[in-house]
Amino acid sequence: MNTAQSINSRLDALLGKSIFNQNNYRIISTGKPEDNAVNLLGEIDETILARRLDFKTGSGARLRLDVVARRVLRIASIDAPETRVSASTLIEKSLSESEHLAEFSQLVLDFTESADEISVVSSALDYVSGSNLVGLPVSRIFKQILVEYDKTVSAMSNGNPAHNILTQAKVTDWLILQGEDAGNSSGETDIVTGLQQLADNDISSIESYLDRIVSTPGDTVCAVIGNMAGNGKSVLCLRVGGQLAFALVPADSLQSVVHAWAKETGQS
Amino acid sequence: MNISDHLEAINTENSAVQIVAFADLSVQLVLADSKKKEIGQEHLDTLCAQVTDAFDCPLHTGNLSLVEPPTEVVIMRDDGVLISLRPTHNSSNALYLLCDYNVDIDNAMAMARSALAETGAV
Repeated sequence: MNTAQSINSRLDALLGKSIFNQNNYRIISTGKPEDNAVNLLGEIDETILARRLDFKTGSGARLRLDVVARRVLRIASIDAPETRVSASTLIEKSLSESEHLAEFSQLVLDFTESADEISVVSSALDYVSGSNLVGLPVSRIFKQILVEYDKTVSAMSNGNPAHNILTQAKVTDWLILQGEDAGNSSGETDIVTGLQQLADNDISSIESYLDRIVSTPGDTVCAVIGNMAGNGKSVLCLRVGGQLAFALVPADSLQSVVHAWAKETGQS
Repeated sequence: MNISDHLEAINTENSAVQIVAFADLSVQLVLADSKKKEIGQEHLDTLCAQVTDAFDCPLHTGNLSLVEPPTEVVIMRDDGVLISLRPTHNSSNALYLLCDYNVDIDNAMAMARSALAETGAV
């Protein structure tokens, strides 16, 4: 096989693995948030010549980056109205490691964390002169993101996620049944006793129930079950970080439960 | 408005709602849906089966239950917030929504309840 054949063979192989969505963007990630971030950074890492990378999520959010030599020179634009990313102060600034690394890394995390798909299309970049451009090296961004992940994992593993969620949410009656802080409770004695009786009834059926309502048995999950209209009340059952907990949730506290759960489990 | 119109309205008004579907849980069949992007029938069916299981909660059996049998279940998990509603606790008709975590859950659920009520689902 000569050089040309070798190159063509390689290009064919690469082309064969590419999947494009209906907008003709190449899909680079359909996985979990950490995969999304890594795959987005991978695109930057593979960009040597000056290009504008237009990243798009499945929900339509867009992040356009000017990239050269594995460095992000600047953010050309952001169109992600439902995320914190849209409020970034970095747009159209010349990025540098000393000033913008942490903020840009967080922006990447915010953009990718809730995306169920990320796709990209690249185009030529015409303004790069090369002499006065610094940019953010992708290796430094990757390292910074690892630091951020370590913080999250540390908070989950060293802390007491169930306790944090239950105290952050507007929930007054709760009981931690298993794991760290098992037996800890708050609220009216009668209700806490009722929660304990629920667990005593058949804890294995509750574990089985939680396994049936997630994609993979054993997954972290929080279920609020009952009636959330008007003055309705519901039972909360959560499993996180080896802990199992119950709580009684007033209808008007549901949003606070979602917020607390998302914050503690890194969903927001 | 028919049920499809309601599903479309819920989807349009709530940017965080990715999927909204109306299903017959007795046969685990999705009867209508509205989605923000192309999602396979298999995924819709899987969600429908999980919604059916979600209403079959051991916490609400026997004399120990602290609350009434469930008409609504909200599940927070890796792929988002799965919201399920049915008109009564023994109804086989249900609406379910798969949403991003930034969902205005009170608004989404209010619209879903209204859809169930206005279409006469029982």
